[in-house]
Amino acid sequence: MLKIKNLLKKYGDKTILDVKSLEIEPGITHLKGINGSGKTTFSKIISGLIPFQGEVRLENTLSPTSTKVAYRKAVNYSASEPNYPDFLTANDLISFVGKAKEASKNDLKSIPEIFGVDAYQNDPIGTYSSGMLKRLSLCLAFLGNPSLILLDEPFNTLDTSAISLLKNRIETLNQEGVNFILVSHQDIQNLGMTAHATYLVENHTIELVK
Amino acid sequence: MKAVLHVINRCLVITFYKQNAAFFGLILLVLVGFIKSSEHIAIGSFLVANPSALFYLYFIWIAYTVKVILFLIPTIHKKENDFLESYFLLSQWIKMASVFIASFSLMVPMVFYSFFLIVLAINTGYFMSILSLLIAQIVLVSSMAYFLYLKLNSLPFEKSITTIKLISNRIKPPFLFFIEYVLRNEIVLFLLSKFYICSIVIGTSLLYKTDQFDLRLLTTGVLLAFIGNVAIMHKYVWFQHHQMVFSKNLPQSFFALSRQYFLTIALLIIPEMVVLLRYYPLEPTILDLVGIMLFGFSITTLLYGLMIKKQTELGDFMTALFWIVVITTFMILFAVHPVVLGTVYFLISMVLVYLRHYQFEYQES
Repeated sequence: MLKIKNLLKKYGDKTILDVKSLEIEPGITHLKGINGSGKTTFSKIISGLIPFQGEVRLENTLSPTSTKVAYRKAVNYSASEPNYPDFLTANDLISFVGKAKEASKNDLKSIPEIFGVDAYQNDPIGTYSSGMLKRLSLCLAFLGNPSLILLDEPFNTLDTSAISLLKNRIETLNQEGVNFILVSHQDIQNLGMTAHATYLVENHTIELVK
Repeated sequence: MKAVLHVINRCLVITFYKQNAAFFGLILLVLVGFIKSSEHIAIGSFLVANPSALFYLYFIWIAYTVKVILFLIPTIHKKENDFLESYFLLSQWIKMASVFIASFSLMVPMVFYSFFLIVLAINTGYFMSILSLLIAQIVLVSSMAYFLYLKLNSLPFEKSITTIKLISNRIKPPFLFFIEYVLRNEIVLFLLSKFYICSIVIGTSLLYKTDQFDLRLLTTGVLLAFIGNVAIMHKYVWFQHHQMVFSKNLPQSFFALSRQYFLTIALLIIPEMVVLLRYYPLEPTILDLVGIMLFGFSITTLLYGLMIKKQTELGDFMTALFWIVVITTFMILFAVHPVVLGTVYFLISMVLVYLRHYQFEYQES
């Protein structure tokens, strides 16, 4: 599903990631590692947010550098600490992202309802709690028709009902062919989720654990 | 005490100067770029010789104090500064000393200029002016300190953001996002930039009444005017690549991206375009009108494009600005028509956006 070759990410002289070769198979993948190991940097690279050296290929044909539009249609992302302009409303973002991701009218209505964002989607983002912000970020990540969704620390700041909702959504979409990479320092099995593979981000590289 | 000062300094003072780097850059551009040192001394000498004239300066200082206060109010109540609620637990002497030092730091530009005037006044023996300046400093710094003390010492309150209802509750198109940000958070910078740009445009147009000039003078004037958008463009880069970084995950074609960028910039420069049309000094031909407007627009887009070529602080970008002015002035003198200059600069901007939009990564210093 996802092939990585000679991925190098540095900030100045500091190497964050140096992954020679990595292949992530379809399914639900758990990416874990300690704080500061480079998990979020990896997820930002794969979602096309930050530049990098090396090669990233999705389904052998799509790349964030050469097929920019097609790749970004296929890959969605939810940040661990979402950061949006505080004067915008959830409605503004859902409309903007939904239009870009070619989400259906039905999805633009139902997905905010699923994540409970519809209750406050006309309020400015600056008034949201961290949990509300997280729900919005997750809602945006499920818009469109992606083949890969990256969720960075998806269960942080969510309440029990939201965690259950998210788990169901992930499992349902996975059965429909959508792949997930869940970036979390927590063990997702404790939350009742089963990952097809687990990778560990350590010493600037990523290795298969199980 | 050291720890308290360090925290207030980092959260409020340094943040103020960082966020207003563009504003101070613009002030420096005017003060250093256009006014000679002998003229500074002449202006300062006039002010200290006429204590009543100092009141015009005090008006500007009061406006600056208001600007600082307008910055402090939302900053203190930001989520990441919630821990400042613990301030009211500190001892009275630490609270008062820390706010005085912070206020002094926030008012440093004013204090420096005041010090310059006091030195002039001492040299010329205008002791009433010295007294007036000292009293003004004490009053303004103390007012700032008192305000900061009250704000930090007060109980926390729930923050609310009023929505500028541009079009009722309807969704804003993305090219309006930065416009709203500027109107909410950078209104002083916006107004100062427009004041500078429009002044240069009007000043250049008025020169045509004194002698026979061709289009080259107006083109040069437009160049010097529109580079005044440098501060706003610096903010736009931060907004687009930091606040809106999530949009880099969106499948936007180059056409959609560039349309968004250039629509935003076109809206931002409407005030100076209106002034340019209103004060157009020559017989307007279609080619000249379109050319001069395209040229002004392309200078602004070029500023944005160059800023995403490589992240630089606004102060460091002044070198690039200098070379833009020199090279463009050279071409203007050789009668390169503004429509040609405008087209070339606009194309360069488009290429830079195409190459750098996804490769540029904004990093907090």
